[in-house]
Amino acid sequence: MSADACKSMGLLLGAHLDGQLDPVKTLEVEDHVAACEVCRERLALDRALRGSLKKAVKLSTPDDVRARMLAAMAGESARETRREDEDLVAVSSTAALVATGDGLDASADRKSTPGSRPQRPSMLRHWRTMLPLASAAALVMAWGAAAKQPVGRGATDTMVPAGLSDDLLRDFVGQHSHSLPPEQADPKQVRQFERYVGVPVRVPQFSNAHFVGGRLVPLHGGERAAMLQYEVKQGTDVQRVTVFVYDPRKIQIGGANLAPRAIGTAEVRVGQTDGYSVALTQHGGVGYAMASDLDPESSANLVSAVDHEQ
Amino acid sequence: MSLTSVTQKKKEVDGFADEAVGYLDALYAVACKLTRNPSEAEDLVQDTLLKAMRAREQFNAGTNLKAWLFRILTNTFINKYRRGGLERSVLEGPDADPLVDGWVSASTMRHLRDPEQQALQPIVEGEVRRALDALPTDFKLAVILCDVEEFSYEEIAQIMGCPIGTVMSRLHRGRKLLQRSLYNHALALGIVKGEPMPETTTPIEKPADLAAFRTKKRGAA
Repeated sequence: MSADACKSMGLLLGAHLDGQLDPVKTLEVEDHVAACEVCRERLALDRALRGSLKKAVKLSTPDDVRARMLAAMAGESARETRREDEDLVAVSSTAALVATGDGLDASADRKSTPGSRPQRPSMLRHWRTMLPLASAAALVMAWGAAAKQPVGRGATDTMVPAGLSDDLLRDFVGQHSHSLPPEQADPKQVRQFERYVGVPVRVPQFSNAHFVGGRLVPLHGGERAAMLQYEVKQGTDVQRVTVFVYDPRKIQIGGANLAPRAIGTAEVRVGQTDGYSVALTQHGGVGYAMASDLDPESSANLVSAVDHEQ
Repeated sequence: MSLTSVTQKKKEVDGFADEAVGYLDALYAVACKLTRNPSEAEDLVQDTLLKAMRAREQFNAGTNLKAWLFRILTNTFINKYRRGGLERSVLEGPDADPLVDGWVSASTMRHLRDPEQQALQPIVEGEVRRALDALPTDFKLAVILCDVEEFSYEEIAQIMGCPIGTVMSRLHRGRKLLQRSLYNHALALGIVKGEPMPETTTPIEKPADLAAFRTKKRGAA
């Protein structure tokens, strides 16, 4: 057998071993190999190498790694479901919190050394049994601090920023301009919104404004705010004013077009968004955003009085 | 969205995750070989699985999920770790040399393998691992995808995003490099007798001046 023939076999031998040749080429290679000891040995060596490679590479995933992968995937799946339907947020996260005891074990493994065994490998082994558990673990992991916060707060995702600040302002203004009717007219009932908003919802009293009612509104990023509706009488004209109560730790509004201004002891930021006056302030760790048709000056003065409780 | 459709959706997501996780061992093993670091391998696999879940609508049901997952793994790895210059120099390094065919006689090759089992002798096996680690990424990936994961050339081409011809040449070169380092190892251990294969061979024939051709081509581009 000539050296040239062997040479041209070079690439073909590998492909033959991989079962990737068409029948004609396969016959050609088989004919050559049958007659050529060098190529036959080469093929055998390739095959042996292949067997060794399999041994060298194959390994099964350690249990703790597997558990973390399952948890991450379950978390992703939970996040998607949450995005799909905001109304079910409370339901799924309640489930997560209920299962927190188990979940924390799995998430604690994250910190362990790669070689260490999970505490309960038998429980973690099966994907199907693992899923509900992993789902809970992942939710807790993804939220990090959520577990350390009061239970009522755990319902929303603290790791994901709640949209861009300008989006939030538009959110507020949009809710103001296309306002839905209030759910609660009684300020005492409005206080119950606290568990959805994450901060105490007190109804501020304004000297010339009449409280109409309040409702919960969803914002970008899955957060919620309490929307308090007022009517302000200016002569014969009645202006609508909406005050949003939100948790300023989760919702940061830093619109560039908002000018800071000090009114009394309150620091207020005022500006215009989509044609409406917007004024923001914080009082006692609670964020207040006011959207209205008022001029910026009145708007700023009004919002600075949020500390007067009804 | 109603509660039932959300539940339905959740089932779909879980079904996909369930199927994907069936390839966890394969993904993790290959990730370990690519990154050579268990915690980086873990990150790589996690990135891969999450990306797959987010993009699962782009996956055509009924096609090869394993190949699709490996494509994501490969792309993720390359985007994260590949540094253009390094990879270049590798392609023009030792592997740019023409590979000498017929360098080991049939009898010496016989010594390298274990006739009973279709694998190399145990003494060479540790060296297989080391030799594989030393391979340039593209070659290593092609060899692993083909020899260990048993993908077809077409699938490997899709996974690596290159033509089938390139897959074949990467496989060929990768295997040759493996054989060369194994041969030298076997020689050092006295398993085989003969002349050591130089780490970089001097071109015997002219046409293989591929490096110069590439340099020229790159200069023109």
